[in-house]
Amino acid sequence: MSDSPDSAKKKILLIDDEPFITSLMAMNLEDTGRYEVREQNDSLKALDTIMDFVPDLVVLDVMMPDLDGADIIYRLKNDARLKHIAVVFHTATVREAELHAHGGIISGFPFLAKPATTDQMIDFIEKHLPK
Amino acid sequence: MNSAPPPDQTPPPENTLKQLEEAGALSHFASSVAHEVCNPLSQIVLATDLLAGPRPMNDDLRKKIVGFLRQGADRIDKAMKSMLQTCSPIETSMTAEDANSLIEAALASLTEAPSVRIEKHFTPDLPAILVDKKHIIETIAGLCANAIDAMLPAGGTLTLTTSSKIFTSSEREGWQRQSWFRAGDHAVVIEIADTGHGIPENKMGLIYEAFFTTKAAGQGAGLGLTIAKKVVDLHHGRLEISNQPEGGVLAVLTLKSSAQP
Repeated sequence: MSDSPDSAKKKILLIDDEPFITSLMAMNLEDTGRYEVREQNDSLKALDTIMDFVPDLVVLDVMMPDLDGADIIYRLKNDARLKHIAVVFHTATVREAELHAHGGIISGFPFLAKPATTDQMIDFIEKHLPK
Repeated sequence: MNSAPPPDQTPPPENTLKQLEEAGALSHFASSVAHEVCNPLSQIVLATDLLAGPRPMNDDLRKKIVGFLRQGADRIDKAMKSMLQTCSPIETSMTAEDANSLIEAALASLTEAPSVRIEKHFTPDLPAILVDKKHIIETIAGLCANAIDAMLPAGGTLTLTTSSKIFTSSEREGWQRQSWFRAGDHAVVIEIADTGHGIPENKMGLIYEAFFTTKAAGQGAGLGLTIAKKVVDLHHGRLEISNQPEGGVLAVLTLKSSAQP
């Protein structure tokens, strides 16, 4: 692993109600030395964490209790302070919202299906990180 | 004059509607299975990536990763077994039973939760109910376990009440539409009330759906109420679940007594 200086690391926020998944994903991503990762397992705290962490990219689960991924996207894109932040979905299921998916897009946002390997996740993140 | 709608507005025949409905239910079921299996599968894939990766391993981390792998495998195993149980026909062997004794047997099967107080308001000498003893004990135990889970870790009170009732003509219309009770039917009512967090009102319509759960990820497959409803339907009984105005959930299980007039 070759660590980038902290300032060069891209900030990734993982929002998923499955703490084991975010914990494992965070360790795997951090081990590349290229990312600074934060986890949030409580969907109700998602927007506060985005505001506090200001990530380069949010990896967002779709099906969560309280607020689901679509709710969070809606609130984020209607908040002038947050709407520039890039978001991708990481989802375990194909539901109504995804029936309209074309070319890996849910409601205009890219998605990666679970289970994905760390390499697939890194390729996906790199593809969608703002340049 | 023929008032039939033009061809493009003709309603689909009833069997087509049924097929569409069944396809929708199947699609929902399939996506729910995908959710319940793909999340732990994701956990397993990421854990193996971590084991194969550059991170130095010490005993604690290795144990932690093994725990992730085992928990993921257990969740998939549980989901698949529950799914098979949901899809399989339930075989019943009916006997006349005392509802109070069935509740005691259900409580005895549960893990003790010291912070939960159990209050029993049992009506003695209830009429016997004709049930499959094993399935009804499991159903009552499942409802009690849900109630207890909703009160943990803070604790609370689980109140179990039994009574008998005779359906009257004033209740007949409402009951007859959705259940097997008729005016004059004798029944036993089992009420299970908790003082927990309740069910969000916007989720109430989903509680009987397979794989729906308000529990934290990995804490329940979301099939308990689906199976409970199936069991109660087989008994021509009724299961009603609602939030109580004072907080917590009330589950009311109504089963026909074996001796009908």
